[in-house]
Parts: sequence; C-alpha cells; structure tokens
Amino acid sequence: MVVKVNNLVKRYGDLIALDHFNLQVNEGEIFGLLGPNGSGKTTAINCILALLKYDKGTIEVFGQAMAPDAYNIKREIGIIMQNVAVFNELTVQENINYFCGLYISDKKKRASLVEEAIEFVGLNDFRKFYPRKLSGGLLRRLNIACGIAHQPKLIIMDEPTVAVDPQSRNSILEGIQKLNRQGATVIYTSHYMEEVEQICTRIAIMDRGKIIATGTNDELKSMIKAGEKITAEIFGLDSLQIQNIKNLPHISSVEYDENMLVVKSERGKNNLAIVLDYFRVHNIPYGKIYCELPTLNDVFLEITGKQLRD
Amino acid sequence: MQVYKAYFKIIKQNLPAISIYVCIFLFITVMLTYFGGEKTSPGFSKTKINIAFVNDDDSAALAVGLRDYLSTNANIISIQNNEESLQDALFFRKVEYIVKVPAGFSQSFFSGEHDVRIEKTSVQKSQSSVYMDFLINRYLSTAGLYTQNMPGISGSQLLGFVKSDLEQQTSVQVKAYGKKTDSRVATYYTYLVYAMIVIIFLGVTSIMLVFNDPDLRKRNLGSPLKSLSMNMQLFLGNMSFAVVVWIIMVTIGFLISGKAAFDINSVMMYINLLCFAFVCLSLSFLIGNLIRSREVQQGIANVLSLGLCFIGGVFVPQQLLGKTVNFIASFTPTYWYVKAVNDIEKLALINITNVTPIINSMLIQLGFVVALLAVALVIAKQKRVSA
Ligand SMILES: Nc1ncnc2c1ncn2[C@@H]1O[C@H](COP(=O)(O)OP(=O)(O)O)[C@@H](O)[C@H]1O
Ligand SMILES: [Mg+2]
Repeated sequence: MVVKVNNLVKRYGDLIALDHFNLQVNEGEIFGLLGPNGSGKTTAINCILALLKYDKGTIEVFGQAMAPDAYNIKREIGIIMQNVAVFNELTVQENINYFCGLYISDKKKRASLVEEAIEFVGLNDFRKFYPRKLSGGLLRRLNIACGIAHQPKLIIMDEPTVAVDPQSRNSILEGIQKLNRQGATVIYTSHYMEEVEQICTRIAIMDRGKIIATGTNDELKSMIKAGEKITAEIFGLDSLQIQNIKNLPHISSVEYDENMLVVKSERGKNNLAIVLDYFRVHNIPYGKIYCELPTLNDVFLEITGKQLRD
Repeated sequence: MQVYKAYFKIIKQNLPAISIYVCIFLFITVMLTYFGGEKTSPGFSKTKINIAFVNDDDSAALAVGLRDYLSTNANIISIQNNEESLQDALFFRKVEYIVKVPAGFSQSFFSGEHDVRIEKTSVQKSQSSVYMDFLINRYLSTAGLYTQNMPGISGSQLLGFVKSDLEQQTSVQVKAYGKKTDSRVATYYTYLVYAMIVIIFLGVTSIMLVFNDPDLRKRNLGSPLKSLSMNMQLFLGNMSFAVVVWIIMVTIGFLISGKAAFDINSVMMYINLLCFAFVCLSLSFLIGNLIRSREVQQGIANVLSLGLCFIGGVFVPQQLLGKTVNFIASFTPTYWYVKAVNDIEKLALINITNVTPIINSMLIQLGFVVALLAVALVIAKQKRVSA
C-alpha cells in the first residue's frame, strides 16, 4: 500500500472540509480523485503531504506514518501543486534544477535528470525563459517538470491541467501515463471526469469532504442503475407510441421534445437493440440516432442527486 | 545549498531596484553629512554663553570651585540676587542659563547625602543649556568621587584635586580636538542608521517575500529540505547581502574620514556599523517571516526606519531627548549604535574605562541580533504546518 488514509477529519472553523475521508492507493496505480470544486481534494492532498494540520485520522505513506519531518518519505514523493509554484526570478532550467536539487544532491546525476525532465515535458526551446514569459500551458508543464525531475516513486498531482489548452492537456495526460509505465504510482485529482476516465486505473469520487464511491471506471458505472441513453430524431411520434416505448423492458424514462426522442434505460443487455426493434416493427422512421454509455457524471448524479459540474 | 544559490539568482534580478535604493539613501546621507550642519557634541562647544551664578550657600568652598570651573567655559554675568531681576535677565536674554547654589548645599554634599541640589534654570532646552548641565554634572561627579573615597577631605584639598583633574581632562581633550577628528565622520555614521535600516530591510524582505509566497512555501515544505536548513541558508544569503551593504557604506565612510580612515576611532566605527548591519539583518529576517505583501513591506519599512531613528537619537541628539525617551530607547538597538558612535567620537584616550562602554554598546547590539534571530527561527518552525 503506497498511501493509506484512515478516517481523516479536517475542519476550517465550522466547515468540515474532510469528513471521515478514507483512501487507499496501491503501488502502480494511477489513482484518480474526482470531485467538484470545493469538495476537498486539495485539502486532502495537503494533509497527505503533512502541510496541513488535521483534527482526526491517520495517514501512512509507504507504510510509515506521515509527518512534517518524515524527510525520508518526502524524498520519494513528487509534488505538483494545484497552483503553479516556481520562482519567477529563475529560468525554466534553473527552476527545475532548484527543485530537483532539493532531492538529489549529486550534481552530475542531477544535471542528467534535469535534462530528462526538460525533454519529458517538451520545454527544450524554452529552457532559458523566465516563467512570466511562458503561456499557461507551458507554465503547467514547467510545474510538472519541477515535480517529477527527481524520478519519485509516488507522484501527487493536484489538478495539473486547470486552464490548459487541449494540446498541452493531451501531452500532459500522455506524460502521466508514461511516468506510470516507468513505475511511478500516481495520485491525480481533477474535476474533469473525461480526464479521469481516460487515464485513471482506479477512481474515488468525492463530494463535500467524503469519498462517495471507489472503483475502476467500469466498476463505478456498474454501481448505478442507469444504463445507456438513446437519442433519436423522429418526426410526429404520438403519445401512444411514447407510452409503448416506456413500457419496453429496462426503460426508465422517455422524453419527446422538438422531434427528439430521449430514452433512458436501466443497466441491462441489448437495450439499444430492443428500442431499434420496436422502431422497425412499428415502421417508425428515424433520422440520426446515437447511444451514450453512462458517464461518471451519471454516477455522481445518481449518488448525490446533483451534477458533477454546476 | 540550493536555497543559498537560488538566493543570489533572485537578488540578481532585484539588483536594479536595490542599487537605486542604495544610491538614493547614500546621496541623502552624504548630503546631510556635508550640508546638514555639524553635529555638536558636549565637551566641544566653542562659543561661550552668558550665565548667571547665584550663591546662597554660606560655606562657599564648593560653590566657588564650581564658579571658577564654569567661568572657563561661559561668561558669568553679575545679576542682582533676587527672583525678579533673575527672571528679567532670562527674559531679556541677558543670560541663557542660571545656576543657583542653594543654602546648605556644600554641607549636604560633603555629608554624602546629596539631598540639596543645585537649581538650574534655562530659557529653553537648547544645546548650550545641555552643555552647561553637562559641565555642572561633570564637576560635581568628580568632586563626588573624592568625597566618597576620601571621607573627611577638607574643602580646599577637594577643590585642588578636582581642579587639577578637570584641567588634565580638558588639556587631553584640547589635544584630541587639536588632531581634529572630523565631526562629519560621526554625523555620517549617525545618519547612516536610516539608510542601513531601509536598504537592508527592503533587500532582505524582498527575498523573503519570494520564499514565503504561500505556494512556493508549501512546495518547499513538501520537499525533504529540513526547515532549519532552509532557514539557515536563507539567513546566510541575507547575511551576505548585509555584509555587502556594509562594505559599500564603510567605503564611503572611508572616503569621508580621509587620512583618519585607519585610526582606532575609524576602525571602531566600522565594527560598530557591522554590528548594526547584523541588527538590521535579524530584524528584517524576523519581520520578513511574518509579512506577506509588498504594501505591508513598504509600510513597515517607513515606520521602522523613521521610528527607530527618532527614538534612537539619529535626527535629534540623544542628549536632547530627555531621560524617559532615552530610557525607552535603550530597549531598541539603534540607541546603542548611536550611543557607541557618540562615544567613539568623543574617545580621545584609549583605555579600558573609555573603551568599555563602547564595547558594551556593541555587545548589546549583538544581543539584539541573537534574540531576534531566535524568535525568527521559532516562528519559522511553527509555521511549517498551516492550521
Ligand atoms: N484555508 C482555508 N480556510 C477556510 N476554508 C478553506 C480553506 N481552504 C479550503 N477551504 C474550504 O474547504 C473546502 C474544500 O476546499 P478544497 O480542498 O480546496 O477543494 P477542492 O480542491 O476540491 O476544490 C472548500 O469549501 C473551501 O472553501
Ligand atoms: Mg483544489
């Protein structure tokens, strides 16, 4: 077990930012912590890094109790904070060298690690730039390079892709997967469900300081009743037919508005085939038709009754 | 030594701003030194003022001796011995200062009780009145030494001893001033307090603001860098900065001193200034650990520099500040720095008695350094984990 958090409680005055928060991250995982803004992701990360006092609970990293002076643990962690933390007075290369130097004192080794990190995030052409001269996406990449240059066993990333252009975002996500293949365990927080679905091997969904569900992408989706959502363009459907569709097996709701039929099904096999069969048998012509699998948003919606993104 | 190295890269980026500060403040200091009027110090007043000397004491020995002594430093004007004419004389500025020896003074003095005191009246607290106070105190404290240590000493014996003592001191002083220690040197080192506080404070806190940026702080604290190591490296960087500032200031002082630049007095000025540079450093380091914004930084720089200068006797000489102010000021390091500057300026004869107070003033400054630094480190350590 790389990280183990037990019953963590953190209060800011009256606000309970973490409410008996539990987390277990295994070696080799890309562990996603998904939750809307203000759900407590950053608070949890800061507690895990012993940067924040908490009211209750225990935190273990690499099987040892985490503490402000647990320097041997900190040495193995790579930190990418939600807010970019670099020196504006140092160049790209100097920044990476500075942060790497906090972990690696051997100069030669450090020089080659810094080179690798620059290469890794693709900042080769910008190594002499000062951070203020970098675009948002490049700045995020620098932030990442500073966190991973020393090749840590555990990488903790707090929303590393906020306010990043799609191109930089993709390269960052691919980079994370590459680091993971090279052996790093990754904890990744985000409020973008697409990112988490895309790269995380296991996901915890968070709301109001609590973990509300944990599992792989598929496991999470199989926890809920909702199945596919089928949308079809059909002209002049009458209310009897709508009622008939509603009575098909596994159909939970049917809406028809402006010639668009939206059929929500419960989890089950062949939902799409059954609906299509009905159209064929009853000679109902349809234009474009598509079928969406449930998303993590549906998981969130079903458990909390609200949208992941508001 | 990552932090120490980063320190210099950061200060390099701040160099233009810092150089401007150094230039501006050095310019002001040098202007004040040369055109701000000479700083007069006690024991070194050339113009004689008019005073009245009233003796109501019957056994006059001590009063006569004092009158003699004062007459070498002031013009004694005869005024009728009644309240009204004395007040008139003061009002019309016939005299600036009235010394009144009350009845029974000598007796009380010889008995060692000192409960009858000489009454001093002056137009207002002026430099010359402070000078007269000083002369009277000097005479009486010298005499007091004899009455304490030689009980039963006769009046005429006492007067003889005191007279010869004071003449000796005077002749030594005349010799010292004959060498003409440029009073500008002391003026420079006094006004320098302002520049030192502002420059070191702004330099140190500018860097501290960078390292104490909440995001960078968290990032550094999350790394295996030990809190003590981090703070020591930062302090070392700041110290190097303070020493560089000191070198610049001393170089200018060197030029002002001219030929006297290698005198013991000058060397003591350099050392005293170094002590004070460390005071500014540790004070800035402490405050730098507490502040978070540039606006606060500027505000504190102003309050701190002006406040410490006023109370410590930079803009107004310590002799004029009054007992209470000086007492309060003695809890600030500036007071001890300025006191040392004054003592060094007056220093003519190098001996233990004369040098000890100077060394003490420097040691007290270093005491402030240790105390401030300790508090700074405790605060830094406590703030490692946020609430
Ligand atoms: N220093 C703080 N003082 C008071 N409340 C805070 C502080 N930091 C965070 N919070 C509150 O705690 C909750 C969780 O915040 P955070 O951990 O930043 O969420 P997330 O990272 O998921 O967006 C939010 O309601 C936030 O307003
Ligand atoms: Mg956050």
